[in-house]
Amino acid sequence: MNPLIPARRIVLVAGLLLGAARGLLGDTIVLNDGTRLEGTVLAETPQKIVLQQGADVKVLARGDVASVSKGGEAAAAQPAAAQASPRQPDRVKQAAYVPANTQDDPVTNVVVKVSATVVAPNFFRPWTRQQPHARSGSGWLLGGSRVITSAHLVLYANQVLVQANESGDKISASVVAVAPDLDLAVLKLDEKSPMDNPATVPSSAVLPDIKDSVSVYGFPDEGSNVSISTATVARIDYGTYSHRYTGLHLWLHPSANEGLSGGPVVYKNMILGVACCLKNGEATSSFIIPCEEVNEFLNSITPSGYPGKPVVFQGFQHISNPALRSFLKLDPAAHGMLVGEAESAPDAVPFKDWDVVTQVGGEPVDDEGMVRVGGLRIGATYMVQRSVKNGTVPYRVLRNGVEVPLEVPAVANRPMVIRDLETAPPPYFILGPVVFSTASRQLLSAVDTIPRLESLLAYRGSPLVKRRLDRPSFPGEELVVISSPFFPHKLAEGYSDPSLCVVKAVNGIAVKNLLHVVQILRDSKDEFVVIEFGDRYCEDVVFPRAAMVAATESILNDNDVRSQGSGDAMAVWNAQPSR
Amino acid sequence: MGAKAMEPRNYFARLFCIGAAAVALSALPRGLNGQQPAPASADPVGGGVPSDAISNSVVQVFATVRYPDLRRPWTKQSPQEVSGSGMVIEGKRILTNAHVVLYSNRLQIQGHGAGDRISATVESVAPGIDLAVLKLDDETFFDAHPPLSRADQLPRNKDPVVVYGYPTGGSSLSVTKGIVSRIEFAPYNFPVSGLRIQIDAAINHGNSGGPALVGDKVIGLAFSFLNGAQNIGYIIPTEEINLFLKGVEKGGYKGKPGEFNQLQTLENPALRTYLKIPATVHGIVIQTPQVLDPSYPLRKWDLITAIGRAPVDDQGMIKLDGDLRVGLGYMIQKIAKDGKVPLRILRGGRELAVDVPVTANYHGLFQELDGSYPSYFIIGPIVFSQATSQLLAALDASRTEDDLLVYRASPFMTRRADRPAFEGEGIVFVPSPFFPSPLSKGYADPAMRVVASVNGIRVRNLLHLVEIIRDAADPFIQVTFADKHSERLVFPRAEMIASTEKILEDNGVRNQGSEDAMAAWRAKPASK
Repeated sequence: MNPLIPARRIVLVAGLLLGAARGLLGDTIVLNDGTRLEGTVLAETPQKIVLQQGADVKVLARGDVASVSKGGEAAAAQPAAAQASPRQPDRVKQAAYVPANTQDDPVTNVVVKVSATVVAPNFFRPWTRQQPHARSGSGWLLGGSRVITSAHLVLYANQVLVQANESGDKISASVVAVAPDLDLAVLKLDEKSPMDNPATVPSSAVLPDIKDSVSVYGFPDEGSNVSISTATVARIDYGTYSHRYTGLHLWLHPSANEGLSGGPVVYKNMILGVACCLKNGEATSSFIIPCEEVNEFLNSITPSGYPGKPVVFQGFQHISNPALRSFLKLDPAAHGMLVGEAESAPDAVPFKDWDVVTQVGGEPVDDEGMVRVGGLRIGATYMVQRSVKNGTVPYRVLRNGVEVPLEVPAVANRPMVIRDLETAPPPYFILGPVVFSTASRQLLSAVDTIPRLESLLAYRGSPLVKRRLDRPSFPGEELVVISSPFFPHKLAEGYSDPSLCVVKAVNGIAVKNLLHVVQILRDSKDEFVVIEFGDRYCEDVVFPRAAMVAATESILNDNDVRSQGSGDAMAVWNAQPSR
Repeated sequence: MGAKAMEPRNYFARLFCIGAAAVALSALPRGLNGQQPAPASADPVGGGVPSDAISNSVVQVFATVRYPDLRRPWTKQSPQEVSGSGMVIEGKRILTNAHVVLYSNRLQIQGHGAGDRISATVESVAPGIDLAVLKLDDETFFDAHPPLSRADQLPRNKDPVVVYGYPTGGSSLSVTKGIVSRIEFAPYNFPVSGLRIQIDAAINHGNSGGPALVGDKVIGLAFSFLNGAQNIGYIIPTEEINLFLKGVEKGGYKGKPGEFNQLQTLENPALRTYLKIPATVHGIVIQTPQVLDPSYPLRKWDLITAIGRAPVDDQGMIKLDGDLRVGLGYMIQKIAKDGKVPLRILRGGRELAVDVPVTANYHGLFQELDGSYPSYFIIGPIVFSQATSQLLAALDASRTEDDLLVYRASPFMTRRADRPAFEGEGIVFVPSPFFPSPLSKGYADPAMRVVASVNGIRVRNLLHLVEIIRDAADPFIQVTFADKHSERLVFPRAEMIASTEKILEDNGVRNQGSEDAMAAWRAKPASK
């Protein structure tokens, strides 16, 4: 232990007491439009001022501020808690930090190396898994035995080890929640360890500016000593990266090494967020997932996991074209974004064709679909997560020349007929030589990696292509697909390979989903099992039912299959037939 | 060519097959390329006919071809020099492969031992079966170059065969020999299938269109070889050639009838039992009829037991004379009459005789270009074109585009297997980015998006789109796309039309649209 630490603690405590006293006097900010804001100024940069008002925090652009008068030195009263209780959004952590007059860098005490053994599912052979492989990256201690890291490190991991800087000890951890679309995950240490309650490092929701230098802490390779690299914030935007990662992203240049994923990114001695470094073909891209996204994730975790970020499922279009403005009969002073083709589903958002969105969450939208918030010009979709309340987001739209308010529902998840399995392995059921499985987003991602396979499916008129972006036509609708070739067996002789054929009907009954198929097979008294496919070039197949059922055990044995089906499928298979 | 029926068709890629630039080599003086021309064999192959006589009837074909540019349909790809072979046939004509002369605008032939080339034109071309007939500008050529006669029967396996032609590696006539290895009924260029003879005589680029003979009779035309295999060359049998020529002589070749039902074999015992088919009855099962209309005589689970008088086996094959076994589709071209073919089927235990309509065209939503250039129309900064199966093949070859099409549910993916939903339906798309113009300011690049509607009217095909714009009276032209996450485009109509001429000028575009599109543009609006 560093002998300087006790001394630093005393200095910090003294500073806190001092700060608490002064903080009571309060600061006043007057905006250009005359508004007076009272609170405590937490931080200032040339572009921004951060003002705390009770539990709320405002980030003001310097350009909007007329004057600032302080009651005392900028200082916050509470110590940096690692995590607020789930019910209270905790947008800004401790912003003030006593400059290090010490050689010790406290960040190195919270950054950890995260090693995972990943056993990914095999979507083409759903009864088994892919070869285990090792992944390693970084994370940081939130306190209370919890660690934050990247989702892509621990997705499908069956063993995770956490190691503190300069320590030989590897502590086992379990995954508490994973958000693949945010690329964040929370781990919990399985044993007590000195890592449990580190002297925490303050984190900050204040965003840096473009060109600011940040430090990325982590473990880029095999070593167990932390590495610190510097990068510049090159760009800040809100969007979806790589068809998957949606959020506020602070792009870094140069890109940080992949192993630094999950580690803390530090700016002015405060943690800004989680580093995300991903290979995109040949290049690696890296960005910071800022604390506000991290907090949103942490605060939304429920016992059943992370439900997802609320999203308004609607596309928008810029209105920069003069003819378009004319056509929409827009006043020269009116600005906004055009609603894309509005859906007509019953749970569709309440936009109408040709609506122009002028405000989202109270912020005006410009003709390129951007808003100005906290000193940034950023995609208006950002406002959804910032202003969602009780499941809706306040919009204002210009409709037939009149501006009307609209409460638009924002939901975390919208079921698609080809479902997102998230972290779950693929459901499946084997009967005789046939392997039934559920078509999933993950299966299609695997298909996309095989050149020309998607085109082949298109030529077959496969529902995997035709219905890729569809919602279920009825609740519970899924596509049942034969994931693999037949297990070699006499019963299948003369039939061509059914891989990736989508089941249309079993014994004449139109198929709703996998469990429905299991139930049909379970309850059938017919002499035959007849499986019909919708795809061109997929032969319909007929099996003698009794022989098919009887052959299953030896087929499973012959092909080293441990379980005839996934848990839910076997539960249906073994249940009593419905009357 | 290519073994699988499911192979996406792309006959522009067939350039890898035969017909590539042997011309480059022929420009070099002999001896400099280090290879000596193979001496003409003094030793005749069966029948005692001197090879000279045959050589006289084989020609080299030189074509300057300009393939369509599907992404820039107002222009063509750069001219390429292509060469192949051909043979003299009756009626003062030259027979060669379609793929040698397709999209050619300059054609010449050169006779064996001649020092000059004679201009030729295409009289008739059939890309499906890959045959073409040429006429010469100077028909005196035929005085000294008589036609080769064709065998009136199929050869048999093991018959010795000799191939004449002008393959790569030299510039004079080349002769190779082998035997007949296999005869099958195989897919040619979609939707055409035909009898196909496989031989092991060396066939290389440049041999396309040259004759293969057993004795002194032509048994077929070399057209292809199997890439990556050894000694597998393919020839189009005389039978198919005769069928083609008969169609040409009847006033224009109209294609060959075929059937497009989804069939599946009856090899599995459980399937046989389920369909209650006695063990002594054999045939092929209809999994999905070509047409789902009740007026179509075939239904799902029908068993085709015979076609004409030929019994069909459980793998869908029929037996021919001389120990041949080929797919049942072969019989269609033999016995089709008035567009129908007699079948015997087993349905629900009953034997029935039905007459099944057959068509030359598959009638898919994405049609074949078949030697023509794509239709297109330019208005203001935007280009529209009609999609063909060749476009789909080009998209397949471009990996990055594939991904995007899938993520926005492009009709190029979702409707690839479709038939037209109504008569005349065609897929209209934007093949290229906007021409630079202030009218397109603020809009994202719409290239490769499929048009859904113009001015609120669902677009049926390209000519319909032209008519909509022609007859529009609104101040604006609005365009929407079928792809998800697409922008809606709005243009000021008068300005859009007025700006077209300058845009064409600035971008070196000669014609605002293809002939059919311009005819529609200039026609009078339909009276109300």
